[in-house]
Amino acid sequence: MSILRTENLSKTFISRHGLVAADKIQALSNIDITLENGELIGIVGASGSGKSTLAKILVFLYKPTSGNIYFMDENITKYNSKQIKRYRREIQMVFQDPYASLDPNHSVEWHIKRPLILSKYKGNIDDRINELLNMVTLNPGYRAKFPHQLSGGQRQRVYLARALAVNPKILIADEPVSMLDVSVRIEILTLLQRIKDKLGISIIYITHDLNTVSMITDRLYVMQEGKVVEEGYTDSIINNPSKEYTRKLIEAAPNPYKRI
Amino acid sequence: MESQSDTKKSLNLRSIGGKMVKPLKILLINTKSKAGFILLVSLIIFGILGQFFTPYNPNRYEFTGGLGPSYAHLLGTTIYGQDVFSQLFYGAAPTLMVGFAVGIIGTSISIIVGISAGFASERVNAFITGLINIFLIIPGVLLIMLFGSFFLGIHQSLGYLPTILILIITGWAFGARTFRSITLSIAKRDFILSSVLIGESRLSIIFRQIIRAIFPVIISNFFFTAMYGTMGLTFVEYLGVGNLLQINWGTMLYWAINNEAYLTGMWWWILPPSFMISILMFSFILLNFGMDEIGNPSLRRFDSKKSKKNKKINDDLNVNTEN
Repeated sequence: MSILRTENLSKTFISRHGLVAADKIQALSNIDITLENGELIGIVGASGSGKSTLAKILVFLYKPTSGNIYFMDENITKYNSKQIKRYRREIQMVFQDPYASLDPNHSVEWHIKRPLILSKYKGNIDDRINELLNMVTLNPGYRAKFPHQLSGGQRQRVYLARALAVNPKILIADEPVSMLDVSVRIEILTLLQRIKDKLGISIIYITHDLNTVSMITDRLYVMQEGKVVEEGYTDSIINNPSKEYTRKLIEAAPNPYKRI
Repeated sequence: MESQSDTKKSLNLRSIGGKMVKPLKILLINTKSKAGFILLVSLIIFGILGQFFTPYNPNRYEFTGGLGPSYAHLLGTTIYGQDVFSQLFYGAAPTLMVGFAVGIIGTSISIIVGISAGFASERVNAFITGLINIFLIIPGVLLIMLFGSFFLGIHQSLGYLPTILILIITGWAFGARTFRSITLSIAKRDFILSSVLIGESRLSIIFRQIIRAIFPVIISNFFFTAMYGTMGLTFVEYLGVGNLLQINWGTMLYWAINNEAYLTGMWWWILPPSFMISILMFSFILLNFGMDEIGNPSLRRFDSKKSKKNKKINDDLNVNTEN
């Protein structure tokens, strides 16, 4: 049983100029992806290929134009706002820019405490915050700090702790390391892998960087201009890409087998 | 365990203290707002003292008319025989009070309307934007004159209430427009989307995050609206559509100009209220500009001496918030 599945998912953005004239932009067309339980899949593609749009549709920040989304084999496409709220306890998203995803006016503690309170966590919230910070390998002494006092990698860890506090089944990581220093990337990626292994959370890892994808993902979807052009196991795609586009992506990355 | 909870309590108390101090400290970071703040505080003290310690009764016609400044009458007397300094002293409080009332209530309305528009669905947003635009194009002066003359009959019993009401009706829309556009831009940032994802309600996001993020703009808008209120009161009274028996800087100007004080050479009657109003406006403008610079760093000009000092204050602020 797949935990999350999309079927012919399409999204068209309409940008209006005045009353009549409108531009249609086909961001996604007929996307079929499947996420199995406890799996870490990668979605790669160049800029503008619709990766982030897909991520935002999966957490209902956008509504799909057509197609269906299944969560635990239940069609959730037509959910109302109350059901969406309940669904979001099962799926969380890590944003690309750790400098924008934490509220500058609130401390680390607040960021982790709020989801715990909202999901009515039973038990000691204080201990749970420390536990979560330990899980993302951050010293609990950082609790009282504010985002501007943290580095990019630390912020991304705080954000991971915030997402994990909701206790989701699925985590969508939308280019979580692209804004980070190369030396910090590997720490965040191993962290993602550990989250998958220890907590059994399924992860969708979105990126344009094939180096990092080959490190941690099991399966891969390659996207081009809103379509999935290639899919399969990571190793086989990287070893023999069947499409010209995929080969170019692989060539563009310095060396997919070089461990950064 | 007990000692732990004790320290936690004291930490909480300190953080509350830090929060209380923060808005005031924000005002003191910037030189302009600091100057404006000092001016405004001295005017407020002047107004409060004026309610208790006027040298003569400001209402009574008990002296020779048209006396120049002397020790007995610091700013001379009016042509009707009232003491000008007593009037100036006593009239400060109502002028300030109207300004602040319009500022506080007007800003509250614009916060509620603006933020809910910026955070609502597209259709509600369009509706409220239309409403704001309608209120923006209402000619304030004409409405003030119309309502002023309408309320003139029942003014006596209502005090300053009708004036405040008119000024709020004509003055809230500008701030609402500002708040709407700021909220629109903030509501699309990642840290708000993140709160939506973890399941925060709209009200919680508005009160816990958006209002804190736009706090400098709120303060700046408050001073702008308060300025509009004071100016409006002066204007209403100056046009003679307010209650002329009330004593404030606006009615003082009305009587002075009605009796052609500028032609008869009674400068002590017309200049002091004009001067005080200018000082009040000046302090509001300084505070407004200062808050603008704090809220919008691209307006800030750096010079090395000042930035050292600012850094110190900023560090203090951080220490405060950290605790």
